[in-house]
Amino acid sequence: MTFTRVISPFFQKLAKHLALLTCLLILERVSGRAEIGQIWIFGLALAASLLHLGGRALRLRSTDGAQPARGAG
Amino acid sequence: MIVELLRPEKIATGLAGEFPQILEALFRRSAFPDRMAEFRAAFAQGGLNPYSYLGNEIAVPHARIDGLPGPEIIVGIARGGVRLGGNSVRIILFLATPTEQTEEHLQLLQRLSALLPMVKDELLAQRDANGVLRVLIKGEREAGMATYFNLTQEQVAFELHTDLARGLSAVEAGRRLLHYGPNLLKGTRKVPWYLKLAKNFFSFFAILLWIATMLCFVPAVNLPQLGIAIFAVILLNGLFAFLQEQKSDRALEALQKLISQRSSVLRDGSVAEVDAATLVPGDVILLEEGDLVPADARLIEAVEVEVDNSSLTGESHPAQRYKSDKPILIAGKFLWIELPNIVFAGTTLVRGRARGVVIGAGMHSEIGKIAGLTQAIRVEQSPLQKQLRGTVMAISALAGGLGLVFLLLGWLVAGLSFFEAFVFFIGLFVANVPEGLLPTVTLSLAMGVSRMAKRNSLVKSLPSVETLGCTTVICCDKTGTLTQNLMMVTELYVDGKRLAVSGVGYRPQGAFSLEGKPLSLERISEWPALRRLLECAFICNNARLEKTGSDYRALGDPTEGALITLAEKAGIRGIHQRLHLNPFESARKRMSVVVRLEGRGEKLLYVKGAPLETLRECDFFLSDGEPRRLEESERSRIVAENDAMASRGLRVLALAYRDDAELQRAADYPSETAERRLVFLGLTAMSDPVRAEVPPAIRACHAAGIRVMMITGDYALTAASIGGQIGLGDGAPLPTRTGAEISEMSDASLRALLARGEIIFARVAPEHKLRVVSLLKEMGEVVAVTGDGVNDAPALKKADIGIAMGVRGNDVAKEAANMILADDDFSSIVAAIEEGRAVFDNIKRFAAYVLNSNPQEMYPYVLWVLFPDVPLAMTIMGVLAVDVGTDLIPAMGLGIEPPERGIMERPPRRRDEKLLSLKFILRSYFIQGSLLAFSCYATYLYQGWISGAWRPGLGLAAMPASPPGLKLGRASPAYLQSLTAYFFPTVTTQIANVLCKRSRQASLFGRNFLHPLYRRELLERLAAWRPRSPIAPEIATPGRAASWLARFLDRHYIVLNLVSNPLIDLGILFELFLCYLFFYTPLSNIYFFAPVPWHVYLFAFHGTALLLAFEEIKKYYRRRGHPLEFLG
Repeated sequence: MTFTRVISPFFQKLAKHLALLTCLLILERVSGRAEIGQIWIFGLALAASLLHLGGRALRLRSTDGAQPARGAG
Repeated sequence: MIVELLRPEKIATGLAGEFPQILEALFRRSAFPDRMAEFRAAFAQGGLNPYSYLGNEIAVPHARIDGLPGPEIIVGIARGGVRLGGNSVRIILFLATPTEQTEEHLQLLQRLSALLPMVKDELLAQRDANGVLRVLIKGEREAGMATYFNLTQEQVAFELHTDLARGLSAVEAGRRLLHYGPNLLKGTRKVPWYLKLAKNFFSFFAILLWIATMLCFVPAVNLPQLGIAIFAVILLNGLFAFLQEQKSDRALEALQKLISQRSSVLRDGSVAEVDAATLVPGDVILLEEGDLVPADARLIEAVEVEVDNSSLTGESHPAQRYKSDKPILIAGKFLWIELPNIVFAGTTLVRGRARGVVIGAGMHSEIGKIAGLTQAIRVEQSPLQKQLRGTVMAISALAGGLGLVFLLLGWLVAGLSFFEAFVFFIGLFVANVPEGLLPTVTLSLAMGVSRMAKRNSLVKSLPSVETLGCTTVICCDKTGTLTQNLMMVTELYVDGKRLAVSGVGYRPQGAFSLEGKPLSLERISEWPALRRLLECAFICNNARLEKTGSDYRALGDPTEGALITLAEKAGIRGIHQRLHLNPFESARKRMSVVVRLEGRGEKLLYVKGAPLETLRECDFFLSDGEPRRLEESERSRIVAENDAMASRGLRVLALAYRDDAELQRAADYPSETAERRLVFLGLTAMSDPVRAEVPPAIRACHAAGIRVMMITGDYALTAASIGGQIGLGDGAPLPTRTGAEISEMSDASLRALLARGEIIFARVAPEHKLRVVSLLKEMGEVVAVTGDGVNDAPALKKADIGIAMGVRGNDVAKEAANMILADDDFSSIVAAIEEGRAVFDNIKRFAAYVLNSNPQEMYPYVLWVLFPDVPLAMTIMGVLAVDVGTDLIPAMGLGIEPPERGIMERPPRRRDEKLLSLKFILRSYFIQGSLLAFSCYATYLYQGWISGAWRPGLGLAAMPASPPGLKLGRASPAYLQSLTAYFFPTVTTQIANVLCKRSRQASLFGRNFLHPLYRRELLERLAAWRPRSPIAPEIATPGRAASWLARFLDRHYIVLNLVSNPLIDLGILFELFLCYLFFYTPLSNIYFFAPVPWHVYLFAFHGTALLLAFEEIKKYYRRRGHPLEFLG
């Protein structure tokens, strides 16, 4: 459970990191600072999305587990 | 209830004329003038019903009207009298209720039936509406006398249009179901699916992708294909995220379906089993032992019925219920739920069988009203939620403001293009926003939940964990929370002597002692009065003990369970044949059994009951083995003994027997003749013992500056006795107030009372508890409230922290609560508060840790923009690398730090204490943050020195220059190395920072660094660790190694301190590994780093040592009482 709780925000944080990187790479490419293909930028956005969904799935699973069962105790 | 519905304009005095004209005059005064036609129709169609005339010149014409917004009452006084049927009527009260509010209709009728005859003369003496209103207000307030008049079952059937013999027809039941709605409690309104869907398209993550998409469509960028592709990703991401949520919600709905129940009902003259949700008012239901009562019902048949009302009242003792058409007189103020001929939804029939007519269902039942009251209370945000919202907004504004300033400076002053300046804006924004704050808060709270669960507190909503940390008042139940929720005989009065009895709960082991000296079993069996008393306790009893694991529980009444336990402690068990039982009745307050003595054929009657009622039937008492005449002096002595026991909050029962010749001759044994000429045996005094863990927990609360208030339904004497035993008030006199006294107090006087120390509230009703909690909250207290019954739900919801009992609590209480105690134990609340405090500390540590790293990321931009010759020492990619590398896993490690030693010796945190104050931010930036930045620049210059670009005496401008236009793809290797040299110390200093932040004042190198509880748990867990591998479970080596390691760590506490938070250790390793990836793999091309010589890495660790020394010195002074807050 602890693993899930750590991994879930980590995935979501990494997803945001990659999404931000996507924005930056688009700007870098336009300003000519980096020579990165569109397919790589798209791959980055896709990876960000997958990480985001994975993180959410883990979070929902750990939240369900954290709810006390009906009539707990 | 009545006067709430009245206003002067709804009262007419001096009426005269015919009854229909008077009725018409009353209708005209209605608050619902548009419903007058329906009022007229109700009386025109059926005329006045036979129950409209109450007698004594009073008439209550009443009707139930479809769609009426609320109950309507209008009063008319006709001093001269009007003719109604064959009677003269002088007081006419018109009552109309909405059709679906059947129970309210009957309640109002009952109350009016009781009130109007009582105040009739006074009403007739009034000349104006205000006078009439005053009389009614006074009458209703003083209606605590024995005045309650019950409706007969025929009238109930008449009012509900039902047939008690055949029940409703299926057609009529179906019609009512459509009209009244199902017998279900309405849940809270759900968020519509389309809003949930929309939310997923506009989360923070989605917004970042939206920015990327929009950038692609900017003419200067012009990447439409990429824009469309990223847009598709947004759509798919939002849709999948929505589906994930829906799936999770459906799982909960499926769980709810499992709890639907069936009920036996009489329809069309035959019994059918139906879904309880389809029950309607007027249905005749059949109840058996063990059934959950599905709706509020008036009993029309009852055989030895006992109900467990704990879900409504919180009191666990079963209450008797019976059919009665006679007026039921209850002395004193009472609650509707105490009526003995009504059973309520949500309660359980623990004994007997019954038939009842449904008077209220769904949201119109008592449980429904409480559920409605609970839902009406708005859930307020926790202190942490409020703080976080403010903090995130403040930091975002700060970051946005700084970014904007530097965007303009870069664009207009430093000569950057707008896009370049915009990139810096993003860089600064990212550097300043503690983006890991929310996940860490979630983790920290989740870890708090997890640790609390280990300490028997199950928290339902994460923010509640932190709210617990600032709790200043605990309003606590008595039964089961402070006490063990069982009865145990602790004292006896027999043969003129007082005996003490020891033991634990229902365990049949314990000792008897006389004047402090233990009594042997032989001595007990040779003492005739004591032996016979114990035999009586065992035989005159319907309960039995059941072994549950290592413990015992009583099946049946807890009081009887205590008596069985008492007898078994002395090894006495009756094996006589039971001939007859006279069950306990509240009227005579006794029960008796007739038995035939084993092997002798003689009959014996054993009686137990309330002391005075039993003593009244005693003519003798047993002394030295002989029955002696009970003289007045001895009788007085027994009464005095009873009073003394009762005044200590003990529950006292008298025991007696009879074995005279008349009994031997008798063929039947009715209580009226059998329970006479008794021989008094003695008194048993029992109490619900205090839980052993409670007094230390109360002391811990006092040390932590938390007040404890006992709010109980029990009697004041009992409550005060328990309060004294557990140490409430710290020895100071404890004020005790009853519910009735609370009712009579104004808000101001109750506030004044609540402001003074600890208080006991006894005999309280739900509304009293809610009022106390509301006032405490208004006074600025952070209130934790415990509860177990449905009646507690409003207070649980109103409280900052509602705590439901896991064992005794019912589902409604658990639903309303924020936290559930798995063991119902008060000390678990105190443990939870300790965890709550730790959570806030951890969040604050995390914030400080993350803020400390921001100056390292910000200074290079500031210098680069302000001084054109100075190279940029950290790029945006570097900032992002810091963000993902050092700001996440190690920071999260701080979130799982267990409570620091001594955390419960501090006063509660003020509710308005800021998570991040301006001072805190400034300290984090300019003291610790600057120290860290100094180390980065030192290493940066060291790299320049060894590469020959810089030497002491030169400025930063001598360092390898940034590439023209910041085209990093064309940067020189020396510049990339300088970026590495600046970046690596951000990691090494943060290693020291995260280790130091683990405590406020305990030294990382000290023996007392870890909380003793967690130190022990950690070592025990490690010592008990065994490999899970199924391949070679017989291999003992890893287990032995773990045991050795545990012993090693126990001896070497510094090592233990360093490795005791594995997430921090993992985070440190992770960030070092990331450094390797950034410097030595192709990722270096994306993040723009290049490897540096090994001694540069080594040099970077000077920052670790520097910070450790700084923090340890600070903690040293803190331990000596110098807070040194200005140092962060």
